Amino acid sequence: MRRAVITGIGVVCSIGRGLEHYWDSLSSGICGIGDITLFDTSGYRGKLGAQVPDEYLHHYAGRRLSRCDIIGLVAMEEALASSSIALEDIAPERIATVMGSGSGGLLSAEIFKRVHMDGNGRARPSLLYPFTSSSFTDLVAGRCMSRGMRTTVSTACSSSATALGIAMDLIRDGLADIVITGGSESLSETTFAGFNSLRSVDEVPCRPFDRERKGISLGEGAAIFVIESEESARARGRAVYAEIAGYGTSGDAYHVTAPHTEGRGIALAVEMALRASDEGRDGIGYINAHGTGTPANDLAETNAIKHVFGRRAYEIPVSSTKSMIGHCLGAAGALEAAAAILPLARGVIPPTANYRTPDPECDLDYVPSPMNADVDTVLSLSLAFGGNNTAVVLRRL
Amino acid sequence: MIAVTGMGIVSPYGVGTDAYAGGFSVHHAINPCTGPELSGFGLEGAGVVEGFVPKKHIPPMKARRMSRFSQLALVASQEALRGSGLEMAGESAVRTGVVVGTGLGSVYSTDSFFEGLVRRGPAETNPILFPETVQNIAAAHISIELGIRGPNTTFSQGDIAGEFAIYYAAGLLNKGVVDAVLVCGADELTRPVLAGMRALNILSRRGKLAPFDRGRDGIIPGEGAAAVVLERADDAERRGAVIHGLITGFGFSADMVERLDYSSPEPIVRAMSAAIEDSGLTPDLVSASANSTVTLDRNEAEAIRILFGGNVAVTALKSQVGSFMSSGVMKLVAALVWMQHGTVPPVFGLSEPEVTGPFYIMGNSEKRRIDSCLINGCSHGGSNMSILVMGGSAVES
Repeated sequence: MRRAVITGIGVVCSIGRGLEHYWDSLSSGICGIGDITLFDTSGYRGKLGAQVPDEYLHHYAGRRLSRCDIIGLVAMEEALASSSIALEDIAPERIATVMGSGSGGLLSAEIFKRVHMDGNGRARPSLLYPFTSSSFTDLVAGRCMSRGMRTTVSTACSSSATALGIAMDLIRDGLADIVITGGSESLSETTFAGFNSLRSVDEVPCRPFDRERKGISLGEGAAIFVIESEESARARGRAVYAEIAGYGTSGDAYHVTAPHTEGRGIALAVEMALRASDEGRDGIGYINAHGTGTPANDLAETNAIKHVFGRRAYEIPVSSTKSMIGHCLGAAGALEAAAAILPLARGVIPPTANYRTPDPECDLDYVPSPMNADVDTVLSLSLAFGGNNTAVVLRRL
Repeated sequence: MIAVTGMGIVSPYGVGTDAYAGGFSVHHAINPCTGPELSGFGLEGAGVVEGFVPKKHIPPMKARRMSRFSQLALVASQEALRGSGLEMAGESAVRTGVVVGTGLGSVYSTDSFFEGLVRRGPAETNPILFPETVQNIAAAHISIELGIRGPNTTFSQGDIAGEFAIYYAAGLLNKGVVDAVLVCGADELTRPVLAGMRALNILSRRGKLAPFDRGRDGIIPGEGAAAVVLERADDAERRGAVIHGLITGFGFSADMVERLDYSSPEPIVRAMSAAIEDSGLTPDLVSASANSTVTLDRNEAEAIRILFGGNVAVTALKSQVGSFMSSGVMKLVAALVWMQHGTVPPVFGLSEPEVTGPFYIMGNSEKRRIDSCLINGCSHGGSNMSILVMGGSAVES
């Protein structure tokens, strides 16, 4: 079987542009959650978020591009540069594009809708061009000369984790030579108001697994990956960041917004991912948790980890990097996979920032500050509304 | 090979496979847009599902909290699972997946939620609407209501969302990840969807449906949901399931085009050829993607002419039910019903083909033995997927 390996990673989020910058910030536990300037948040209980600084995006503009498009294109350029891939030398039919989508061009559609509601003049129709979930995928495919398999996963907060798994399948099955994958997300008023309406936004920067945790902090950003086979990376003489070793998905079949308390669906997804990667429970050296910071999520996830790993659960460092970059919804899985590779590349476990007070029910090692560790295999968890769970196993080659 | 062992459909013809089977050969289901919800867009009619009373099929307290998108998807899925005779309990629930395709999910929920936010402010938003804004919500309801706990994924790849869902489900079965998959394609037609289409100038200006016709000038929208239960053919035979048809091949291609534009003919030829090669069968019928737009219909007709000349019959489901992005699953169910009845419906609205050469079924439905059908999906943004299916009677003989 061909191994699917990551040879390029591009990242943009509140705490960095470019992979090295991102990893530096994660290694230092820098929290990028603060004031939002994109729209007025004064009427909300939870006002904070992890916005991408303007200077990371300034060279891009375009009437037909949404903020999600722009953030994603910056990450795509970073990814292509980091892989040194010459796409023009590859048959376009062998380049695939697989993206995970969250709210996509919703921020642009909101502008359209406001003009429409005000009744003052005609809203620009081009504001709706980026609305469909697949439009960012199509945009990237065009920029990457990709005429191979193309698809968009739209499972909200687990989208881009599943996209990574599908990218792995395409390489393993020999259906593509290069896959451009990942996800992009921008903040929008709808998602901001939505999570606030469910009373699941914390008033302070989110505190995953902390006893005092009150909810999430929203974020935005993108992570784009270049995936190819191990042979192709070798032939190009490229260093490999990690192998995508396996993934699993499941449905809780339990509740529309709440996770199953015992994390039964999460455990299923993890077991499926371990099976797919031929990795025993003992191999996992770090877990990048979904860790949103809501009381229910963090408990369910903790229970699922204990269920799968038994006593070993207490020896595995588990952290939530959402404590630094916020919850980036459709891009969360991709950004967190990029964070989960940090221990493989640099031997540093990213911490759960803002973690102060242990919760007796959440009693694993949540890595309150960055730590060194020699780790070969990691697990990244991504969960979504409706009990949609994805687990991805990443391995050092 | 993959067997279809359950079918469900909620279409503009009504609720259930029988309603579709009773109407398709006689008339199209482009119903007049009389209600206030869909009037004012200059359409003679649209593929609106009429007579759909969700609480007849879903517990009323639950139905009330669901978007139309979720209701349509769930009711079609209930029918498909019931028909398959599979029971979801214990291990079978874990070994069964849910894969949904949708183009837009519930735009109505997103639009209403945002409108409430703008009009009444952050404190007065409706929290019930928000979970329905994510596109994986239908898959969540399906897993919860039908008790399906295995892999759970939603795709939103423009107009091939349904075709891709079928493709991915077949992959899960072929890899042995699961033993059965419930695949559903669903989209709702509501006022904000029409408003968006009008703004993007893709609706028919004359309001008349005419796929492949010289006089065509844009989309007549539709809505609905269709679902199938898929299993490996040998498993289905072993348990003595009724096999409605077999999926024997897939073909994919993509073109690099603007986000609202369609593929040129050559990639469409490539997708069709690949599906034929994959299955080793020559189709008797093409179920076209044609949606009455100037570009797609011309390019698809050209592609059919190049590959088949006049040696295959051509019809188009969207001339019966209007255009919605996840229609791929409905195309599958419809094709199996046509084959079962030995009747092919005409391309309604077609009297003067622009591209001559292909053998269009025109005027009235035709009695004709069809053993295999090539389903075409062609999306704005340039991705195409073709699927070859064999009918149940062909399977028996």
